[in-house]
Amino acid sequence: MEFGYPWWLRIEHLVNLIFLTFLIRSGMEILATHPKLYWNDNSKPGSEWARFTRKVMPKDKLYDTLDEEESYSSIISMPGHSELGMGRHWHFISVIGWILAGIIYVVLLFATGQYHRYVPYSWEVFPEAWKNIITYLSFELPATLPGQPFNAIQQLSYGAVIFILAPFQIATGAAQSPAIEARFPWYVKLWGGRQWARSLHFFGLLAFIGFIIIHLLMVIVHGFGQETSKIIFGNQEHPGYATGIALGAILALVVLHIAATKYTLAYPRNTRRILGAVVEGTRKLILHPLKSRQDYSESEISSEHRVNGKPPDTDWYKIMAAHNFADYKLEVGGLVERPMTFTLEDLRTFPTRQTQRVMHNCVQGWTSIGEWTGIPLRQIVELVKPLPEARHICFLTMQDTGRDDPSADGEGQFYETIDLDYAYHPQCILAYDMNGGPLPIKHGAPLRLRLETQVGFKMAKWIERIEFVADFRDIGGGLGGWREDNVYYDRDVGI
Amino acid sequence: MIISENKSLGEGQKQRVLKRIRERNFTCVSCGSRDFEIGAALEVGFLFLTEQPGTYMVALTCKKPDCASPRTGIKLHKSEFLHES
Ligand SMILES: [Zn+2]
Repeated sequence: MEFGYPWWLRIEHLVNLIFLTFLIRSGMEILATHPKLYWNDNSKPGSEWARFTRKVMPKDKLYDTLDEEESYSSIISMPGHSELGMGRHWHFISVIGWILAGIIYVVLLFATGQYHRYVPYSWEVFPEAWKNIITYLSFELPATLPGQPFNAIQQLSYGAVIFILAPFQIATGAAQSPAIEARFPWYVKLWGGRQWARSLHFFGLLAFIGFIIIHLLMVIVHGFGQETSKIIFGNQEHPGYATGIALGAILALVVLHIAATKYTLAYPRNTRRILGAVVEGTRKLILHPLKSRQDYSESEISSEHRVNGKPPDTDWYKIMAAHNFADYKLEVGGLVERPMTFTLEDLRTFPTRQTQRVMHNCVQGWTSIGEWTGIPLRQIVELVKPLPEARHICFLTMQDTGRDDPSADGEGQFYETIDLDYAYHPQCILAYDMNGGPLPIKHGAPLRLRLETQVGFKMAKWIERIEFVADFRDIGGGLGGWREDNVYYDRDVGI
Repeated sequence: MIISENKSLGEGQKQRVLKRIRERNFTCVSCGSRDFEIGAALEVGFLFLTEQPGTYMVALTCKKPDCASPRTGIKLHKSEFLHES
């Protein structure tokens, strides 16, 4: 077996470097939006084991998780400046590219037999690796394993990164998708819960950063020209050229990051459209068909369910709430045969009632577990009979974001749209009760959407009107929801 | 149906709300009547952005039979009506 540096391996190394650096920076952006880590799925304030923020929240006023968001510099996060929507697009486009490159790489490793270099075939490798570490620490270079391109610690670290760390990051990432969690609740529990998966994903991030630093350091220790020559030319014969090309490549990578960051911050709508063309399609294919099958136990319900978004700050809403929403009316119209209006009493006395105990996934990364009761959305759909051209459902709310929630970046009436077929998902309900009592104001009283395979912002609260539409392009900013229009979130958010 | 966020008021508290209504010359927006049934009180100071801590919205129902919009409310600080006795 000849262990060289075949051309595909060298290309893979470069591609991997590009995707991995984008994954790390965009991952930091996602962390910034809720800079706290937990070992419990309630994400109860104060129960975090790590926090990367100094913000202190008020005690005498309702605050939401938008208030807790941090704005990190573009140097560490992509694109920086608390642009979660953009960070998500970059993270998901990078992960799609990274996984595809990874699959090709692993297939080629096995097809060519090159994988042997990463696999220890004797227990002796482990004490040998320890000796290697001691050798490095005494500023000497350890010898390679017999017939191998690497020494023992190199073999173990490269093998661990490729066959353990990379799959681990993909698996813990997938465990944070509400669609996957909703369809396969056992999978999330396998990781100890959603917040365990998030915390472990963070450790994976640290491991990758640690690996990159040590890897770079080792390349320098072993001889920068000689080592980069191997990964650029496939042999160690051209250290001079290799040094120049490698430094140029690092510079080009930095320039690529700066250009992508500047473009993203300057043209978020275009960035969303370009990256979304790949990301949205992939999500529609893989996550959209998943249906929620959650049934958490009563004892798992969070004592303090977190919130994102603040209630409508108008006197008429407060008066209506003080009167137990007796004057509330839900209008359902648009492209339907039979427009209808419902009072809260109509909805509450509807023959079908559905209760579900589920995990709520905020786009920011926190979770809480709650019990929701309401009327299945498909019942409303069947009553009003959408016309054949109706494709989406638009939920218009009583919340005016500029007025009610200054931490949200934008203004105007909050609305969200979902594809019509989601109404037929088994755990898609219009909820009027929560945890056995009436839906609290901060959670969207008197009526909110529950669509358990999506992240929280799609589940409009304080709903006043439901409209069936053929196209969402002429509503609001035209991207399919308030968050899509204003902070450029993706529309079908199964992750 | 009871909304846990709405606090039902005792007789003394209701009397004090009526007193505040008179003091403020509060009238029904719809018909101008000053005759109200006192309902529950909702703490709005904590939940709503522009409200001062300790503020309540007290539900009022206009007693005039032909009032077009009988359900209204008055905002009061807890010190104005909520104390017991
Ligand atoms: Zn009146």
